[in-house]
Amino acid sequence: MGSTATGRRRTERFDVAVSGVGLVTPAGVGVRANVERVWAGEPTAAADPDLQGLPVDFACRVPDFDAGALLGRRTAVRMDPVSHFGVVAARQAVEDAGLDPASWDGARVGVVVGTSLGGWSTVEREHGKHLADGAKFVSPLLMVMGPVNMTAGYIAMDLKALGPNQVVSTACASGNTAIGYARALLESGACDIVLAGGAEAAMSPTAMASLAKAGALSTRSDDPAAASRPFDADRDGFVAGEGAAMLVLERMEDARARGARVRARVSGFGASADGHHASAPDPTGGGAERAVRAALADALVAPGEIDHVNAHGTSTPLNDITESGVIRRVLGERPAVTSTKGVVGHLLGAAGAAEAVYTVLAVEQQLVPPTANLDGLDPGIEVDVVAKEARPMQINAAVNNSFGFGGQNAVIVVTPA
Amino acid sequence: MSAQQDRLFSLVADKLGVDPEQLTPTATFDALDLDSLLLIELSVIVEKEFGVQLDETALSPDNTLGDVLARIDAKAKVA
Repeated sequence: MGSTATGRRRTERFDVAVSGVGLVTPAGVGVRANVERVWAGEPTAAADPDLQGLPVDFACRVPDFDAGALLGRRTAVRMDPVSHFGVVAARQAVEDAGLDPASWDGARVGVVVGTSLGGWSTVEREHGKHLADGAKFVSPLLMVMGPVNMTAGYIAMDLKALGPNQVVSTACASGNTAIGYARALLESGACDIVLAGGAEAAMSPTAMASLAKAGALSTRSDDPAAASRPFDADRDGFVAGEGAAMLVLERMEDARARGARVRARVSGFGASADGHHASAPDPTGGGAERAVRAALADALVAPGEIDHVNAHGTSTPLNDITESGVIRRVLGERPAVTSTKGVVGHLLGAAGAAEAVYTVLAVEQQLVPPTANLDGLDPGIEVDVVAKEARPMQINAAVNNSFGFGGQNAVIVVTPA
Repeated sequence: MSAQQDRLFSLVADKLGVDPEQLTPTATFDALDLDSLLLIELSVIVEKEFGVQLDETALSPDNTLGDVLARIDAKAKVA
């Protein structure tokens, strides 16, 4: 018998169908581009003209993304890029699910989006205008572009998703937190469909300068493609990324009843707080462990049954050693561990959602993507990390870990359709 | 078409996302689907780029880009 994060004891598993997914990441726009690049383990980090002159001048950016062409210029001008990414990913997910917003009962469709910094780059730009030219030149659009809630609001406007609508923010765990909240909306009956995921587009000079100063970012400027190297002995920090990922979630019986193709199930969610430090993980891994155990209990899955872990795996010295210790202690030697951040970098508030989609696709394909740039495993890391090539294997249960600054942890369990 | 008009239309297309083919001096803001937020944004752009302050009487839904150009030209003549 398991128990939910709220302590309510579970006797029967509550499975949520993932019937559609959408991806806008540094690996590309759309599921196919992502599968090609992520499962090939091909890194995306590169020198970034927008970051020129900063202590860290490379990042993982979304390639070939024309918001005006994708959304219409009238729509695009009032959105920060974080909402461009979120709306495009949501549209993809709805199409992938075979749903038509023109005919659905919008009041039964919820939206939950995780983001950490929201429209930060617009705030930064308008603040610059304020300081340089004065208050009268600040754009009135700032207040519909900057605030973190707007991405969920724009998705509702675009797709007529008129049910509960909100943004959740738990730093780099935000995407998983959104999926957990979506599960609750479906289980309570508040919604029949929830569009859940995460979005981030905080590639602004000030945000990146701060992350660099905090020592979180890799400084491998001479070889950016090799900079995001989760679990490698020579890792020195994460590479910042941007993008969005959205999932269409439904109760299993509803998805089956409408004949939907179910890619996988989200079978459990667990969350916790380290209560330890603003940026460093609790060195005992206690908070992360509580979140993993809560997710397993919610899914009624035993720790020894997890076959695959999509790790938070940031490529920072501290995260990877602490997280691998938790995986080994809680889940044992069994799971094939990977960090897709080696390819796409760290999408911050969108990371959990993108990695949830990669976990769904790994379970669906029964194929674990490799950890890019893993040339020499850190000898202190005693888990089975998939390197170099994707690994075909039977996956009956998988875990997606996400841990945020502030010590906020969110974990989901994914099982086959 | 004046150079000022070219510049104004290009700013409106670029920053307010209006389809360039819709841009004429006689089209009303209502017809261009410019709501109150975008009209205030237009006033910020015009003041920044042309140094002309547009008051509310130039920014009602029935006004046109031609009205804005008249204000810009009026200022140019005074200067």
